[in-house]
Amino acid sequence: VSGPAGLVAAARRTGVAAVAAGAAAALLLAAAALAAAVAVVLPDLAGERERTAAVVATSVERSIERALALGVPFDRLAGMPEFLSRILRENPDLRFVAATGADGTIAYWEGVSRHRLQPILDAGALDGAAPVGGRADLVRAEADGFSILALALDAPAGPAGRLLVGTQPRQILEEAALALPDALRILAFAALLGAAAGWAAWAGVAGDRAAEAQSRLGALGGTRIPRLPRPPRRDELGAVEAALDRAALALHDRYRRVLAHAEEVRGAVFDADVAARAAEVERETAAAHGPALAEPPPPAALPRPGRLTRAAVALSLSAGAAAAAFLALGPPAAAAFVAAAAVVAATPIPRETARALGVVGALAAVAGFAGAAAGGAAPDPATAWASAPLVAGAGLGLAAAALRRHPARGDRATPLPPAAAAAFAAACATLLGPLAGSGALLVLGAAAALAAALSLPPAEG
Amino acid sequence: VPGVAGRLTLGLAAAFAAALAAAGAFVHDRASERAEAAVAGRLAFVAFELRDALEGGLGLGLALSDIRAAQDQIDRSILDEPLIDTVAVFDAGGRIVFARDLADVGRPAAPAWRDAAAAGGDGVRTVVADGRLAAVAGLSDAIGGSAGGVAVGMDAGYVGRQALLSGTGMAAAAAGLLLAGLAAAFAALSAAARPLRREAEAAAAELDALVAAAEPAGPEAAPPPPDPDRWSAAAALADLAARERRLERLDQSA
Repeated sequence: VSGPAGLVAAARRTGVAAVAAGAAAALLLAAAALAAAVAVVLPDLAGERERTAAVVATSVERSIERALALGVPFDRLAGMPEFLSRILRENPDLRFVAATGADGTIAYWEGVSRHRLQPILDAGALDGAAPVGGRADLVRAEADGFSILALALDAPAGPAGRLLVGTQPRQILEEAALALPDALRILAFAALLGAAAGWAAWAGVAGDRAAEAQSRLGALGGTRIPRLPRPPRRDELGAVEAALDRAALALHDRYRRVLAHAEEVRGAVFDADVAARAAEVERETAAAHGPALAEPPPPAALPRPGRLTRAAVALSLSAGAAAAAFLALGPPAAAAFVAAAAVVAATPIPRETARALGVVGALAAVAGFAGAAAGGAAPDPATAWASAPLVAGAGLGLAAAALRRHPARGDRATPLPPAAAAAFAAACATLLGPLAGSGALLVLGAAAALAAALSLPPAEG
Repeated sequence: VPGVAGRLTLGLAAAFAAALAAAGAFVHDRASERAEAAVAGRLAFVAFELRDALEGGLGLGLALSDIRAAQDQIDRSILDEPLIDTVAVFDAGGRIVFARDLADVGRPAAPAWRDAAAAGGDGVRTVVADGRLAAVAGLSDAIGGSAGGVAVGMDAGYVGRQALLSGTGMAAAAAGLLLAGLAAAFAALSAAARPLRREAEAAAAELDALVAAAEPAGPEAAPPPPDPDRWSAAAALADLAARERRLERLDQSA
C-alpha cells in the first residue's frame, strides 16, 4: 500500500488549512463583532448626548429669558461668551451652543464657529424640525453631521430668537477611534485563539489519527497489524481505519481457517499418506505464521496523542486567560508565571519532578492570587476571585500535560505541547494584559476559553 | 457530526464564540463607561445650576430655608429631565430643607450625600446611595463656610438596564455572526479536506483489494519468501491462500 506518505501529507495540508481558517475566521468575526457592537451602542450613546443637550438647552434658555424679562435687549446681553463657554466646558459632549436673533442671525455662539453655523441655518436646516422629548417648543434637526436642538427664545415684546445646542454623532466614532490600539489587541487575540483552536482541533480530529494510520500501514510490512482500540469513526480517516482492521482480522482468520481445514482433512480421510501430508501442511503453517497469527490481532499500543493534545490545549487556553488575569496584578506576577511555565515546559524532566513542580506552582499561584485579591491589590477583587480557579487549572494542566508519557521519549515528560502553551500564555498576557481592568472582558474571555478546551474531541486511548 | 471538516468546524466553534464575546464585551464595557459619564454629567449640570441659584441667595445673606425660589427650581429640574427622581437641598446640619418629594423635607440627608458635599469643594461628586445615582455639590454661604449641599439623583439601575438592552442586541448580532462564521469555515475546510478524503479512500480501496486478491479461490500467487520473520501482510495472505489450495487438492485426491 502506497498510502502512508500521501495520507499524512494530505492530513498536514488539512491542518494548515484548519489553522489558517481558524485564525482568519476568528479575526474577521471579531472585527465584524466590533463593528456590529458599535452600531448597536451608537444610537444609545447619541440618545444620551441628546438628553444632555436638551437639559442644557432648557437651562440656558431660562437664563436668557430671565434677562430678557428684566428688560435687557437681546443684543446687549452681558457676559454671554463667558456663560456659553462655561456651559460647553461643563458639557464636553456638546459641540456648540448658539443663540440667534429674531432675524435668524447668530448673535452669540461658542464651540463651532459662526461662519460654519450660519450657512447651515440659512439653508433652512431648522425648517420642518420635529418636536422631541414630548415638548412642542423643543425641536430637533440634523444638518451637516450635527444633531441640533432648538428652543424658541421669548421676550416680553415677542419672539427674540432661538437657542441652538448641537451634538455630533460622528464625535462618538472619533472617540471610539481613540480605542483603536485596544481594538487591535482584541483582533490579534482572536486570531491567536482561532489559530490555536484550529491546530488543536486538527490534532485531535485528523493529525493524530493520520499518524496512527501511518503507523498501522507501516505494520503491513509484517504480519502483526494492531487493531484500533476503538471503533473506527465515521469520517474520511475512518475508512482507512476500518480497512486496516479488516486486513488485520483477515490474516488471523485465514490462519485459523488453514489449521481447521488441515485438521478436517486429517480426520476425514482414510488414506494415511494424505493425512500425513495434511499434518505436514498444518505443521508448516504453524511454524511459518503461528508466532504472529495464532492470537487475535493485538490492540494498538499507540501513543495517546489525543489525550496529550487535550491536556495541552486545556492548559494553553486557560493559561492564556489566567496570565491575562495575572497581569491585572502587575507584570512581575505574569512574568513569573510564564517563566515558571516555560521552565517546566522546556525541560524534559522526570515525571515525579514535573508533578511536584506543577502542583507547587499551582498552589503558589492560587495563594498569591488570593492574597492579592484579599489585600485589594487587584483592580477588581471579584474578577480576581473568578479567575483564581483558572490559575489553578493552568498549573494543574501544566503538570498533567508534562506528565504524559511519550513512547519515543520513554519515562520523560514531553516538552512540545507545554512549551507551545507557555508561548500562547505569554502572547495572550501581552495582548490582553492592558485590557485586564475590564472585568467583563476578562471573565467572558476566560469562560469562553474554558468552553473551548472542554468542547474538544474526546481523548483517545 | 460525520466528516473531518464538520469535526474541525465544531472544534473551532468555541474559539469563534470566545472571539465574538471578547469583542462584544470590549465595546459594551467602553460604551457603558461613556453612557455612565454622560448620565453623571447631566446630573452634575443640574446640580451645578441649582447650586448656583442657591448660592446667589446665600450670597445676599438669606438663610437657606428662606430661598423660596429653590422649590421652583427643583420642580423645573424634574421637568427638564424626567429621569431625575431625586432632588434634595440640605443644610449644614444634614437636614433636608427643600426636596422634590415634600415628604422628605425635615428628614436627614443620606450620609453619603453629606460626606460628598463636605469633601466636594467647588466640584460635584457622583455617589451611589440607596439605589440612587446622585450628583452632589456642596453649598457655600456668603463668607465661604459650608452651608450644606445639593443632591440630584436618578435610579442607579438606569445605565445597567440600557446596557442590558444593548447587550441583548449585541448577543443577537453575535449569534448571527457565529452561524455565518461556522458556515464559512465549514465550506473552506470541506474544500481543504478533499485531498485527505481522496488519499484515505484510495488507501482503503487498496487495502480491501489486497485482502480480496489473496482469496484461496483466486489466482495462484508467487512463492512466499523463505524467512517467516520477513513475511509481509500481502505475502502472508498469499501464502495462506496457497496452503488452503493445497489442502483443497489433498481433500479432492482422497
